[in-house]
Amino acid sequence: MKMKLIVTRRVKPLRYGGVVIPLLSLIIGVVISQLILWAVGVPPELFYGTMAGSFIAPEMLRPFVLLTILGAALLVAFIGAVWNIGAEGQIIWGMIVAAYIGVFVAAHSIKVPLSELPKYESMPGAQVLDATYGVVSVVLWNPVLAGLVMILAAAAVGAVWAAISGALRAYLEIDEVASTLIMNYIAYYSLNQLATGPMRGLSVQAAQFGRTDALNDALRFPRLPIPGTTVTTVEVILAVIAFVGVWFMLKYTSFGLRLKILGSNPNALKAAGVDTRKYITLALTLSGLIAGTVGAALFAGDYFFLGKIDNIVSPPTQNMGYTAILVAWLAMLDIRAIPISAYIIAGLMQSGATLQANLGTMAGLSGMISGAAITYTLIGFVLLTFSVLRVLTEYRIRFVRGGPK
Amino acid sequence: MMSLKTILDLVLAAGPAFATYYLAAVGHGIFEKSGVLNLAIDGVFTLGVALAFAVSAVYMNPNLGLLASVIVASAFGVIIAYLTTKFPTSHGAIGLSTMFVGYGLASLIGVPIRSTTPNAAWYPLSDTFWAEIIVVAVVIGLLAQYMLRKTKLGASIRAAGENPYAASALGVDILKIRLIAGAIGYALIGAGAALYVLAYTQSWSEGTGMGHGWVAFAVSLSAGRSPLLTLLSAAVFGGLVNYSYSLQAAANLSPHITNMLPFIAALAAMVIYAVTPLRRRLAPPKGLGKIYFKEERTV
Repeated sequence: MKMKLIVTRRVKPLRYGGVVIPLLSLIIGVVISQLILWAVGVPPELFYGTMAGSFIAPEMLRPFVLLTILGAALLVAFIGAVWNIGAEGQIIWGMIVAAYIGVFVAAHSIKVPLSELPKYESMPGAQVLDATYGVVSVVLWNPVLAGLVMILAAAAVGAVWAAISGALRAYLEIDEVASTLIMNYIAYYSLNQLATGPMRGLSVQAAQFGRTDALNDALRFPRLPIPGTTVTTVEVILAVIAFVGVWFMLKYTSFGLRLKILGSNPNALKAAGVDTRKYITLALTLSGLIAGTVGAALFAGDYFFLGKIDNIVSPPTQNMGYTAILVAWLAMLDIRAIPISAYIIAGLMQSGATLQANLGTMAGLSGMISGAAITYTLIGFVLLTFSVLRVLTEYRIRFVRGGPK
Repeated sequence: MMSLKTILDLVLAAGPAFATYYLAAVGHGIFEKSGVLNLAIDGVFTLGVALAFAVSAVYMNPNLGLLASVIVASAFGVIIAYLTTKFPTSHGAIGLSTMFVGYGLASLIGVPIRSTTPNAAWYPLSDTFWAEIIVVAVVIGLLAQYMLRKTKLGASIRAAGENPYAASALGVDILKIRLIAGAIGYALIGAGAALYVLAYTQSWSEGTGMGHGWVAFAVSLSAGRSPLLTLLSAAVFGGLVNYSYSLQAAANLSPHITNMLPFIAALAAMVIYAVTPLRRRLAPPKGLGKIYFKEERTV
């Protein structure tokens, strides 16, 4: 007998679909990824062991916090049916500007004669970056002011970078998926150009590897006092602001309401006399603004310098701009579900990183499988399963014998 | 004064880059003409690049690498077409998730092979081979143009993209047509990807090819998905990419800037296309990326 697959619309949406479907997708996606990784030599017990451990590891707190910010950022655009795939580029520009302020404006590097180095070692606000070349970083600004300016500038430049794609979509009807993606690559290479060129530092490492000088200790974002985690207080505050801000905007403001209608029924918005083009541009701008702050967090909270990207697969964003797409989608564009979704995805990301480290100690597999490859595979299969299973919330899929032709 | 021979040499040397973008862009155009928004292109392109390298490295035969890339990419095209047409699901979500799958698999397949066999069997760096692939690519493009414009299959593909409901009422099997368009389109994308690594870069490391699927995407878009006009945009991009090193030397540019140029050009091409009268003549299919759902009777 011939089987036929039939798709029919449900009378009522699937009950508990909002919980069951994402969880089911997660399980199926993880299992598929595991089978593929098994095929390339990753033992299943190591995979699941690492995965289980990763969800309770203190290291995952940082990706969780950053993905909450980015998930909220992307949600703002996605809810208006504007597809911001360019968070990567927006983060990168945030990093660049934060680095400029941190290393050239709020502090700066000077070259001093080696005999004068001891004088700087004891000077408050001065930090010896390189004792062989005699490079000293001198703080010029109050650290709180410097941190604030770094974040605001990163937000502004992220907003501008996203606004370009927003305006192209709104006024010239250029698909924003393509333009935001293409602009990610422009941002990556801009970082390389700037880090190896105009922003290259004075220290020996900077000269050797093509990067900026390190950020002065005094300007680095302080870490949260939890052992094992590298998350900073600033990032936690940013996450709370982004989460509460987006939630409030969507629930209580007319801007949020219009954004939601832009996503569900743009013609109704047009009929009501609203300039939808303005809202498309604003949705992307606001999305880029929030994403940009993550750039400042990555620079002043994690890397402390801007370095050339050697492998385009592993930019300093750790691909979180892409990973956050999954966070927003898995939350089914509900802001309240963003932290849950961010937690799950952070666990997956952490698994990728820990798995890479664990594989590094295994004979024959060291250096064979990159964390990025694992993360991409996991994201890809979870998202693909979810994209298909999501149909089940509103449709019924059945196999019938024979069926009509 | 440049002799004719020098000019010919310069044109031929850009052959691998041209053929890569031309084939991939024509494939992209055919698939999108059928109404499926093709956002998976960069992932499958990257996967095709890794597969072509891996297979050619294992069997020391570039033709096998090309074949593997074509077959696997084509299978991806069929899967994407099936998922987006059979189920009322977002083309964007299916496309982007497939892109990530492609990135992940590309690394997982390529890296272990590269660690033992960093050099695959590449295509020859010869004028004759370059001339061959240019001619073959152009012939394939012209055939695609003929197929889309003059055959029943082409008319069905375009109808499926413009208005699938009307086409279906006239007896076009939308699913079947999109499956065919996906198979043909992605076979060409796979061929372009294979040429990218086997004839153009002639080396593979993790991430090779990433982003160049998007360049092919832009090459196709800026030519309104027409195989004939794509000849022009692919020639421009092929030249730009191929001569990036000469450009570096001639204009004293850094490698980062020349790496960036194809992406800036891609964006610029889309803008130019959008602000000129070309926009209306080469508009995207009206049904592109829209969910196609026809209630099926279950009895």
